[in-house]
Amino acid sequence: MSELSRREAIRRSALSLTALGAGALVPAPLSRELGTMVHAALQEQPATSERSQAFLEHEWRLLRLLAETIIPADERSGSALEAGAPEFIGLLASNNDELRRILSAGMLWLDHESTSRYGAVFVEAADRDRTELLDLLAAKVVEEDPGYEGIVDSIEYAGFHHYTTEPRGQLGPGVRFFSWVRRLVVDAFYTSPIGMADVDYQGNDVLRRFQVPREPLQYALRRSPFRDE
Amino acid sequence: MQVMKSPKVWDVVVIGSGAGGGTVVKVLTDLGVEVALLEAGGMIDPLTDFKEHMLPHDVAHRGAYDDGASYFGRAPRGFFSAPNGFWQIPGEPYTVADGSEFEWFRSRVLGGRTNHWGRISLRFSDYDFEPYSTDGLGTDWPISYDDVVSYYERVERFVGITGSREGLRTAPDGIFQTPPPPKVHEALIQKACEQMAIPCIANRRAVITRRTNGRAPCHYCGQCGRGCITASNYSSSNVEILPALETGKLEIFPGSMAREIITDDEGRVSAVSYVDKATRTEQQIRCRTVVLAASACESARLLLNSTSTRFPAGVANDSGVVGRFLMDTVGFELWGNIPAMEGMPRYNSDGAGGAHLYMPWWEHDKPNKDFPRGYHIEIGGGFGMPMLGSFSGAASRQGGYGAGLKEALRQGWGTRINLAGRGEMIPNLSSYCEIDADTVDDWGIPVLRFHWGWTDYEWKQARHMERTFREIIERMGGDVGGISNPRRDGKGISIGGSIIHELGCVRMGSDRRSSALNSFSQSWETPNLFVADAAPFVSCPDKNPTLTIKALAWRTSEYLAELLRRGDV
Repeated sequence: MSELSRREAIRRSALSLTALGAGALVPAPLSRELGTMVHAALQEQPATSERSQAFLEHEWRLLRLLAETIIPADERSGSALEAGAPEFIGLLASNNDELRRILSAGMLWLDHESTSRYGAVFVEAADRDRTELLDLLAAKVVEEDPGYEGIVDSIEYAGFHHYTTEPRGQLGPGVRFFSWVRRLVVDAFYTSPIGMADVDYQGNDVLRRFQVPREPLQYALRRSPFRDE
Repeated sequence: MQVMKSPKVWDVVVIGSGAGGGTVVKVLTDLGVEVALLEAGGMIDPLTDFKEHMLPHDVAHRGAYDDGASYFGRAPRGFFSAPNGFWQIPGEPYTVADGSEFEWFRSRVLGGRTNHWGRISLRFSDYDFEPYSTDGLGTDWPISYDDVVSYYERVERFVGITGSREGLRTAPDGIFQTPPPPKVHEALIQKACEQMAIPCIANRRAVITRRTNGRAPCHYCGQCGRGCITASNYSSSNVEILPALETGKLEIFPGSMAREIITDDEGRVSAVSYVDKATRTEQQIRCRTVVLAASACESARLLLNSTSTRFPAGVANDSGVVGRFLMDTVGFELWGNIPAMEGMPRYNSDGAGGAHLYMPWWEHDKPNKDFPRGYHIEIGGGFGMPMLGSFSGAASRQGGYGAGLKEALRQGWGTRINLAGRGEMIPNLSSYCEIDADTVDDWGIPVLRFHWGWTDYEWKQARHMERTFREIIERMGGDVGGISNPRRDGKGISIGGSIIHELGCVRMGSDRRSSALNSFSQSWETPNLFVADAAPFVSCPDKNPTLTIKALAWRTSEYLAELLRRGDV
């Protein structure tokens, strides 16, 4: 369904909810059905695994490996690779030289470091060697707070400022590179259908009435300092 | 080429289509007055321009733009947001004086900033109109709460505001629709506030929960900031201006950047000159009256740029106050992580697209405070739509990668709350705007230069916010994460202008020597010129300005219509 016709359908449905008038019982499946329809339409995403023109073959292999390593598949959901993280990064990098250079230079750094330490480029290094190296680069980074993401007013710009990590020393370039890749991979994963299902996002629906279920409320109260009130 | 003049003489030309302009258009066309509306931006089509039912993966770049602009701070406001403008608009610069920081969010589209605003709709209190009489700071308004209350009621009935009746002097009750219930994190915050004797009550927002004047109630998609295809929240475009077109009394001139107010020998407005952006030519539209509603600073700019022999300092500026007493809300935010919500069962927490509770000021009667006036608190939290940045910040703070990171992000989602203080600034002589004649925009129009300075009043207020928010978070068993207002100076307080509540600059008053406008927002010297945005504001109460902009614009419009009917302008 095209974007326009889908939104027109939502608008009409929302208007029809009201047309029934105050107090009228709206059959529950109406909103559920619409929500399902909307979200199903959104998941008709062409799966591409073609190499982005921004990267050479060996870079693409490395990027794919990093995506899968940062967010691997588990019993609950697929990996960032399956969620299209390399394609997302490739799209941006093919239109943005600054980003492409950051990533390409970082990949050269990583391969050089891996070769110096283990005698093999990163994708060919042993699992435990790769883990050892990434653990050095992925330590908790103290950085200026990127801003809260949930307020309507700041929903989109808040996250994009003040990433002022300044790791020093010989590992600095690798830490900064990994920080970029992790950010892009995590962003790609959680904005994908796989990632949204992983965290069980339930919003952006069309509802007749908004209600807060008891279960999460009881759960949070029970675990809070207000449990005895 | 000669400047083209319209053959028609309009009864009213309105400049700007936001909260003020929208109200003027609605009230005047309802009364049968013919209105021409100049809008510097383009038209809007809610159906195609509002992206409230898109998910990030609907586009391959997920909202970053194809060149990843949002990762480099170069993106316009947000791909999914209502079409709206940004802090910087290509070709429309402003300058900031050395030693000052100021940010100016402008919107160039029908409806202006009402397409995306937070919809928080708070009445001023009685004491807000008498700040000088209350504590000796600032200046009293020439009007009182009683002069405005019936206009608040008209706006609330027409727009539809949710809320609850509380009987608090700091938060006067209005005409309210049923508010949506508190979300989980809000219920916890309310418990902490109870212990601290801070009122935590139903938020007051322009999002309707029942059918109102032909508009459908909210369908709880949670994306008010992207616009609303069912017009269930208030934007002037959707609720006032597009409907007013159907009266046949309104003509819209999009892409028309007002340049100068033209006055005749008697000092009365005879026309407005504007640049037609499409043809890049200057035009004049003739009129009997003009209403400026271009936003506080744009309206000041227009007046200051309208110089003549009669008005060397600009139209409506014999007092010299135009551009002076620029104010913005004091902003300070803190976020915290609440372990009680870790791993919480998921639910759809969207609600009416914003917070369902808020905390009005609670220390109005407390003696010996170390700062004047007060603030209210806005709340953020919940399981918002995963967007770029929603998880990557948490991933950096968490550190690591792999299965452990993935599980930690899953458990930690929704545990973050945000507390935002929105407080009153005392007008001061260091905060103002003036014409920077050396710099022009793409339309050849001289731009504004801003000067800004917070004082100890605001710093101490921000520290009070910090102490309060810290205590709320800790009483919830949470950990303070850090300061979270995205645009802040070195000390953590919001940069001037960044709360997007700029107001003042063309203030009203009871004395023409110290004000530009009388109590009906009518120019003292040029009686067929009116101002209907936030420029007439005399003070900056701790209530978001939109509801009062609309109430005053409604009042001015009725006054203007009566003058037109009597032939007095």
